[in-house]
Amino acid sequence: MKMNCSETRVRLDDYYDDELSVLEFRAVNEHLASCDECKHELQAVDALRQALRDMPVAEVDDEFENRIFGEVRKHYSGASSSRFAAGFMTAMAAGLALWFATSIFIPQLPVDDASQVVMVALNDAYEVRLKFDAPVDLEQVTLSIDLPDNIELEGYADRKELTWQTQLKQGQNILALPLKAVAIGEGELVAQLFYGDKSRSFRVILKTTGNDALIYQVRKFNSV
Amino acid sequence: MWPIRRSDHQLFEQLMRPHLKYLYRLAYRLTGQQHAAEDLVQEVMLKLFPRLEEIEKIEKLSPWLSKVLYRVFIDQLRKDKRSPVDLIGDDESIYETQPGKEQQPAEVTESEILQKKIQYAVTHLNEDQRILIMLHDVEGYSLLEIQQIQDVPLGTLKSRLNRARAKLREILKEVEPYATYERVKGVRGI
Ligand SMILES: [Zn+2]
Repeated sequence: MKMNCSETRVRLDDYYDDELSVLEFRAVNEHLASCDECKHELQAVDALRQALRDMPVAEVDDEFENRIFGEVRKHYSGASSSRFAAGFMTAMAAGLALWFATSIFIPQLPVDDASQVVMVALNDAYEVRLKFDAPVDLEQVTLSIDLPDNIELEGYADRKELTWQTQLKQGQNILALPLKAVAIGEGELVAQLFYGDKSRSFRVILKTTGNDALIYQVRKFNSV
Repeated sequence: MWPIRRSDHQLFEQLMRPHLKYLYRLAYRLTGQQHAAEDLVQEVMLKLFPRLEEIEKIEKLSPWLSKVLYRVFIDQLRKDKRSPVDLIGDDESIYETQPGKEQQPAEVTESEILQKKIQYAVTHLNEDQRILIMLHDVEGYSLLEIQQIQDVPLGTLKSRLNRARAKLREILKEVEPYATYERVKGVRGI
C-alpha cells in the first residue's frame, strides 16, 4: 500500500492512537519516512495531544472526601426531613409533637406506589414514615393525607384529612406521621402529592390487631 | 437495604473512597468547573448510597462508576438547558480564560500559548464534541471504554471524534492572540 500526503494526513490521529490496521500503519510509516511536511503534521498532532493531556484540573481540598461522605450520612439519616416537615407542623394544631429519628433508621413506607401492609397494635402510638423521592427540588408541593377509620393522628382525633403546602428537596424526603390505632380493622392511608398538574398517590394498608406485637415497619412514637 | 446501619455507611465509604479522585477528575472534565464537579460527585454518591447492596456485587467498579457519573451529568444537562452556558460562565471556570490576554509575550512559552488556546477552543466545541475530546484525548479513555460509558457504537464514536478534532483544529487556527505571539516570537504554528 502506498499513501500520498492527504491519505496520510487523515490517518495521523489514528496513527498516533495506534488505531490503524497493520497495513495502514506501515504505509503511513513509509510515507512519513520520506515526507517532512507530514512529519511536521505528526509533530503538531503530538503537540496538540500533549497540550490536551496537560489541561489543568483544579485541585480539591483535603476535606473533599469527608465533605462528600458527610453529606451522604446527613442525607440518609433522616435529618433532611425537617424542612419538608415544616409545612406539616404548621398545618397541625399545637400540642402535637413530631419526633424524627436522626440516628436510627427504620424501613420506610411505602416505597413509591407499591401498597404495603402495616400491622399496628390497638391503642398504641406509632410513627409511620413516608418516603418521597423527588428528582429535583420542588417548591409549592401540596400534600394531603387521608386516614382510615381505624387510625388517628396522635393527639388529633377529629382530623381524618390533612392538606398542606410544602416543599420537597431533591432526593429523599421523609415525613413521620404519628399514628394511633383506635379500632380493630383494616384501612388505607393515602398520601397524595400534587405538583403543578401532576399528582401521585402513596398507599399504606394499616391493619390493627388486638395484641401488642410491634411490627418492624412501624416504630413506637414518642411524644416530646 | 433498610434499615441503615452505621456499618452501611462505613462499607459505602470504604468502597467509594478509592474512586472519588478520578470521579472528581472526570466530573471536572465534563463540567469544567471545580464546584460543579464536586456537586456532580456529591450527587452521584447520594444516588448510589441506596444501591449499596448492588454496588457490593460489582466486580469492576471504576467503569461502572464512570458510567453512572456520566449519566447523572447528562441528565442534569438535559434538565438544565442553561448548562452549556453555565459551564463556561462561572468565575472559577478554567475554560473562560481568553488566550494569551494577561501574560507578557516575552514570558510565554509556546506550550503555554497552546494551552491557553486549547482551553479557549474547547469551549467553542459543541457539547458532544467537547465531552468526547475530554474523555478520549484529555483523560485517555479508550474508545471501547467510551462506548461503555456512552452506549454509542464504536464506528459512530470514531467518526464523531474525528469531527471533534477537526473542529478543534479549526477553532485553534482562528484564535487570534496566538497569531500575534507567533509573529512576536517567530515560532512555527502547529
Ligand atoms: Zn506527506
